[in-house]
Amino acid sequence: MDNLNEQFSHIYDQYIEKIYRFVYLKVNSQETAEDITSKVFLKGWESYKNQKSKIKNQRAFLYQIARNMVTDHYREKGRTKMVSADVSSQIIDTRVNLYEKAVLNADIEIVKSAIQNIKKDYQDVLIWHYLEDMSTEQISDILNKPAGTVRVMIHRGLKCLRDELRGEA
Amino acid sequence: MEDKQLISKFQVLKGIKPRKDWVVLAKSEIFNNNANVIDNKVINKITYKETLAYIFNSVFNRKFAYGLAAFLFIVAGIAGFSMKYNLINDAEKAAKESTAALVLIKDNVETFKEKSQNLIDVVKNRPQDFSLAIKEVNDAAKNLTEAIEKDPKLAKGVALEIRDSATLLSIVSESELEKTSDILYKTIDEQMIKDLDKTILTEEQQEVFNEAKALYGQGKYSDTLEKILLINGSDSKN
Repeated sequence: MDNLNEQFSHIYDQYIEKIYRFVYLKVNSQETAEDITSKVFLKGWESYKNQKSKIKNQRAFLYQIARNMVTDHYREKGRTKMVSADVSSQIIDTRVNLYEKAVLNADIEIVKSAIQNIKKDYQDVLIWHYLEDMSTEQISDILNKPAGTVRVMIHRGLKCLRDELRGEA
Repeated sequence: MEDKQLISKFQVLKGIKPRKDWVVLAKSEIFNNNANVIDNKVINKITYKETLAYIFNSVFNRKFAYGLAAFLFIVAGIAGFSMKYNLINDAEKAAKESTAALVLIKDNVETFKEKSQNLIDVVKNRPQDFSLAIKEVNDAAKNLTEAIEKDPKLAKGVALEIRDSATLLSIVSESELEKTSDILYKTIDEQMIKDLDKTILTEEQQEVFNEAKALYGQGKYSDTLEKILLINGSDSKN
């Protein structure tokens, strides 16, 4: 049990930021993202304790839980957009120039809004591929789809994102 | 807009990260087997100043837990080694003392866990009692060490239990702990390297041991300890 604690602790450290970012970008609320992410890891831990040998891919496993929980969240709460007032505190930014900070925050808001307006599946692949630097093969493990399909989804997702950003501009 | 520009714009979102204090508390809740979701209202009550005081260095605190566990292992090892040559022939006397030591150790483990849990509570709800809570945990750890010295046979099991309980300490970090921990790690590392030098290791273990010695040479004592505990961890599986 002690080894399991240790192992899952490493898994937690490795994925907490990634899972949080993924959830946050989909629910757009710090409080909700923290709530859901906690539940993801609690569920992950319970499964890990009981079925460690059956979990082949930890990353895929956690992201699958996260996707399902976000879906459940929307199902329960309705697709109401909650705007987090403290979005600027989410971003680790080393710039000191206030103008640059303002520009950065404005950009972030625009991009965040755009990603949330595109199809859910496209959101996921874009986040995984461009923010979490996952390969198409790694993404295909999560989605259980062929790598070729994932590449098409990425391409289409980018197109949708571009269209959204043009609309925002 | 070209793809490159678009992707670059999108990647600004990489900067989104969770709050450090939330990360720490969420982790402790998971390993406390607490099924309740973190109470965000409680976290939000913590002021900015208090949050700074709770900056969690997960690497440090995990290492502190490893340090304590390793220290107890060493104590057990040294006591066990010396016991081999002790002239304990009175079985009845030994049994009585062992029972008393067992009771003492159990009490001390429970006290240590209780003080650790109190520290968690202090962090969340009573930050003004932080210094006292830290002192109580340190005192409990010291008492436990002394108790184990009296009956080193129970050391390994107790050390593992303490290591788990010590994850509760992952919430806070204190600069005073950091100063003393460096001395502790160096002392532990020296002893463990000496012990391992006399041990037959597998090829894999030897590789890890060489890495540990290199880290020791660079003055990275806590990293050294982590490596050494990997060797000991794989030992226990054999």
